[in-house]
Amino acid sequence: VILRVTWICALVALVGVAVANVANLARTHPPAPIRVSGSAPDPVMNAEARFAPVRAELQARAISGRVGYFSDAPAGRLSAEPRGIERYFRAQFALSPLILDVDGRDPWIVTDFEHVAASRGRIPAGWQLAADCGGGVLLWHQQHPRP
Amino acid sequence: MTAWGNIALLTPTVIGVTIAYLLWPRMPRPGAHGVLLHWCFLGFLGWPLGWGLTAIVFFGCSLIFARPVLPSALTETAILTLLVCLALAARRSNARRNCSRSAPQSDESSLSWVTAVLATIFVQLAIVALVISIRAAQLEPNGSWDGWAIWNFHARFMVRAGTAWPTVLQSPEVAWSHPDYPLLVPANVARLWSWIGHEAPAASAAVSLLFGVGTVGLLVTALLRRRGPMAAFLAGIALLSTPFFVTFSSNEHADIPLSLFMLGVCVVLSERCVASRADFFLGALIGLTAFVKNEGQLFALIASVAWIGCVLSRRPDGTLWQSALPFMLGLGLALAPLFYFKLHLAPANDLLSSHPAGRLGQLFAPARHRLILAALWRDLGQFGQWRWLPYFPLLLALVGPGWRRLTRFDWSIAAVLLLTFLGYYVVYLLSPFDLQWHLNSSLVRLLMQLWPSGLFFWGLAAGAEPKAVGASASAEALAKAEGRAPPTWLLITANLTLGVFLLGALNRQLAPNEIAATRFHTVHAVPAADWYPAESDSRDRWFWSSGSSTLHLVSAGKRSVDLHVSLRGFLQAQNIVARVNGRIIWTARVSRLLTKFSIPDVTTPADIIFSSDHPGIAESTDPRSRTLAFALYDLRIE
Repeated sequence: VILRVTWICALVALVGVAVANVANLARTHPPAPIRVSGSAPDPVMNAEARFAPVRAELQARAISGRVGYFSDAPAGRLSAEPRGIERYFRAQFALSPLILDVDGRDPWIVTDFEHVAASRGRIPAGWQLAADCGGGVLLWHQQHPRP
Repeated sequence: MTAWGNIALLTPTVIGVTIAYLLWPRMPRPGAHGVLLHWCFLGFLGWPLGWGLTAIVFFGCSLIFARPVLPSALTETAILTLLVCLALAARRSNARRNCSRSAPQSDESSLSWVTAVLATIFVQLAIVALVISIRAAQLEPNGSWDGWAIWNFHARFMVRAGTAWPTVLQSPEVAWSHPDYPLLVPANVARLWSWIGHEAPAASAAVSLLFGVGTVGLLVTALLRRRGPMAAFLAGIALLSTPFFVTFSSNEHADIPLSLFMLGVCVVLSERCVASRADFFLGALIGLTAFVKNEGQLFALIASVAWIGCVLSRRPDGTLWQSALPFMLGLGLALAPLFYFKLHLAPANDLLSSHPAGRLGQLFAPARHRLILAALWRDLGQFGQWRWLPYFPLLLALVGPGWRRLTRFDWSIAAVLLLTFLGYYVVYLLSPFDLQWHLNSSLVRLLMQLWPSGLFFWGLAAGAEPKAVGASASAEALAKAEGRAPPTWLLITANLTLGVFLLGALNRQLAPNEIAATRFHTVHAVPAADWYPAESDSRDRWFWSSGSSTLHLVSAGKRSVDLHVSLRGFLQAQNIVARVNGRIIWTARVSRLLTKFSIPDVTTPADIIFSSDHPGIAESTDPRSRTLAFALYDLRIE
């Protein structure tokens, strides 16, 4: 009798805990936020949208393999800045299979600027703007790349 | 999802169930319910095998063809045709696939009122879990971190880079994405993207979600066969009420697919069937487990050792090879793509390439043991993200003589899970990374991998012997007390009614930035940032404006709706005007008291700007106080 009562208690408790957990799960997981303007709530989807024009530009110019990557953070400090490195990862995801080279030794570079005016000055002399894709995403070309 | 997408999703299932039908022993003299259960079980058991096979086919084709979709589809069609022919031929053979011992039978066969209630709860929780899982996918369409940064990223290489994808994978710039991780999940995502012709995030979420559905299905059907409905539905309820499992299922962590493969191996290991084909099946399943994630390789090794132990105990010495050969064949075939990938295509693994032998001293560092055990204690309580922990009722259900009926094959599951966990423990001890970071970023996922298999073992051990105490005894006693089992029509009607009610309740939930929606969520009202944050009491919900504020009405297409709203002015009466694109669509005199208004025939999508002819008034003398003009209460859209 004790074992039977124990079993019934376990059954009721397990079902009760489960129902409570699922009810709490439903309460804490409402539908995804409604997308109002052009920007998506998900940063990866935002990066997809931001880099879509430059990806089309690169494809139109038949550029494959590697391209340089410039962001607000200097190349040497990129890995030390969590926000900067996340932006780099998302850019790499959006532009794959192109490899984004932070050393900028390639004839083409893509910039991913949050503060365009401040960071634009970091582009070395000799680079020409090939396309302004908006949102701080710019495509640059160097006529005579460094060896 | 297009028709091709649906076919692409269905093909692995059909391949899997056909393989399972061919290789798995048939139940002797099954009744009508037994046949249905047997086919459901075969479907879920074959599920991982089907997905594994399609991944291998696509992986192989992607190395040869720049556009692998057609060759992979043709190969899958050929495989499926061959399997169906074999299944039809096997159906005619009477001497086919009989176990030397009878197939496992459940302890309970009849459906009592208690089990009917449990089944209903299970079905309703499954509905809610499915909705939540889809919501999680909508929140992060490309998956959470692992989803986009590892699995979808690698899938993109396979789709976008043609046959050069291994070269891209070897680039040091993408080392952060763990390019050595096995490709079962990315290959299946890439396959689906190729079939439908574009990289739809929903497609990768669907692949991910199906592994979660398969895990629940396999757990419940396997326990239904072995222990009956009580244990099966309880284990299913416990899994579905694990929030981490539900949200993980669709956001593309490969831990859920791995948990399905692990569960499949545990289910097959625990069966007592002696049949060479089943050994081939198990070998293939173990091999594919290693192709899901690197952790699967450790599990595969341990499960293979456990299989040797099981087979030694059930086979006479002279007939060992009858099991070993098919097992090794299945294992070898499934491991071949992994070996090729690891040896020729993938860069070195970060854990192994950092010379773990040189860190053997870490095995005896007390600080590392303390750190791991502390993290384990913390994460055991929270890996499921439960609000209320289920451990106590789960342990309470184990009180009783249920343990006595566990066979040594059942115990092999516990041994495999324990050894796998110990393997993880050693990996943590030898980890070259910051241990706290390593534990924080991975331990909960490792526990989740083992959770469904752990619940399967729990289901085998829970309850009590028939005619004794526990699941079936209680069920039978209660069934007798109630007179007879509930009729099927009543069960279906109850589930349909409850399901509709639950879906209705979930449908009424609003998004965090939404204040109202039409009944079927075709039009959403979203306040812009120029409203003050929402306030509410038990009856009303309202937003204050400082004088001019925008309400976004969002809809996929053009629609006409009526807005019903209450307005009140702050300390003074005022005229409120609503404009869309500068055109006045509504105006009214609003007093200090709450007054109801209707704004008819608003065409959406639209941004309605509500503005007052009176400037806002400071709420108090505090300079930081809000400037309030009017408030919008309890908006409804019809």
